[in-house]
Amino acid sequence: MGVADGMAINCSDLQAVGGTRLIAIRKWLATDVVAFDDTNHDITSILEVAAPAEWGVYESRIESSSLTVSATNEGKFFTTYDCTVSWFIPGFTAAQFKDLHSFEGGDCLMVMVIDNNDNTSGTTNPSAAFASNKVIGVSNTLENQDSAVRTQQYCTLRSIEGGTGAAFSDEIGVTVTVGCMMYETPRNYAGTIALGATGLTLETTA
Amino acid sequence: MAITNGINIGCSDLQAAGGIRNILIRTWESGDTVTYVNTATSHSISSLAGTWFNYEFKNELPSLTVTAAKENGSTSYECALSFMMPEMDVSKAAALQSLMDTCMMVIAVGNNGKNYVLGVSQKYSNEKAEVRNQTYASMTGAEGASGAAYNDDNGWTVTMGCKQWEAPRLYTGDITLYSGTSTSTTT
Repeated sequence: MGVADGMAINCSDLQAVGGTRLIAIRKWLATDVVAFDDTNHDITSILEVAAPAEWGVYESRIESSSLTVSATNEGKFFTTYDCTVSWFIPGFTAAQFKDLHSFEGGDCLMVMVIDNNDNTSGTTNPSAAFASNKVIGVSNTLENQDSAVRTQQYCTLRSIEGGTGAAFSDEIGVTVTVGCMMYETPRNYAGTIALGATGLTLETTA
Repeated sequence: MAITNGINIGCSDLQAAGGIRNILIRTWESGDTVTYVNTATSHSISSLAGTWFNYEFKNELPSLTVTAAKENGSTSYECALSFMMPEMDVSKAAALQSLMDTCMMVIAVGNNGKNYVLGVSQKYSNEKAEVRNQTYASMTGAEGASGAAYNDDNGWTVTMGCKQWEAPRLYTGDITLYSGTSTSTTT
C-alpha cells in the first residue's frame, strides 16, 4: 500500500462540491457477479450473471441527501467503516409510501452514490460520466470467499423518519437512511454506468 | 472551468438603462425542452418554446437582484424579482392565488432589451426530465398595502425568487410579446 506515496491536494480538490447527484439502489441477487480490483480499490463490474445489473434511482429534495462514512479501529488488523446514505423525500404521499414499503422486508441492498464532482463547479452541463461515485454494501475485505452475495456487509434500511409537521409551513415528508458495516473504505465503481431514459433506473456493466 | 476569456466594456454598455420593461411568467410543464448555450462568450438559453403570462406593473418599480455566494466549491445564486401591481382588487388577488403553489419560470425583460430568465438553470438540473428541475422560481413574498394618505400607493408588491447554482441566463430566442391578450410566446 502506498503510504510512502503521500497525497497531494490540488485546486480542483478544493473546488469539490458537496451533496449527491444520484442515489441508486438494488437488491443483491444470488446470481450477481462482482469483479473487484484491489490494486485500485475499485469495482470493475457488477453484473447479473453476464447481463447488466439493474438499479433503481431515488430522487430527493435537492441538497438533502448525503453519504457519511465513519471509520473506527480498535487495534485490530481491520478497520470498521459504518456507511450511511440518507435522503429526504418530500410529499408524504401514498405512492411514496408504497415504494418505501419495498425497503422494509429486510432486503440485502447495495447502494451507489454518485456525487456532483464529475464536472468542475463552473460547468453547468451535466457530465456524461458518472465516475465520481461510491458503492456501499459491496466489499471485498473479510468477504465470503465463495459467493459475493453471502458477504454479510450489505446495506439494509436503517430508518425512515419524518412526518407531517405541525405548522402549514413545516416540511412534510420522510428522511430515509440506508446503511452498512464494511471493513474497507467504499469503493469506486469503475465500470460503465448508464442512466435510463426516465432518470429512474440505471445499469452497470463492465 | 478555467478562465479563457476577458471582457470589454463598450459605450453601449455604459448607456444601458435600468429597470424592467416586461415580466413573463409560466408554470413548468411536462415535456418542456430547454436548449442551453455554454460557451466562453455566452451563458444563455437559445430556445424554450412556451406560452407565458404577462404581469404588468407600475413603471420604475420592478427590479431584479442577484446575490451570489461561494461556500467551498459551490456557488449559489439567489435571484429575486419584485414588482408592484397597483390597486388591490379581485383580479390581483386572483393572480396572487395562481402564483402560490406552482413551480415557475420567469423572464424579466430589462429596459436595456435583455431577457433575464429565472427558474431555468442547467446546473444540478434533473438529467432526464427537466420538469423535475428543483431550481424553479416561486413566489417568495407578497406585500399588500392600502396606504394611509390619499396619495399613497394601493397595491401588491410581489417577489418572485429562485435559488440556482449558475448565474441567471439570458433568453436569446424569439419572444413574441402580447401574442394573446395577456400572453406572450417564446420560440
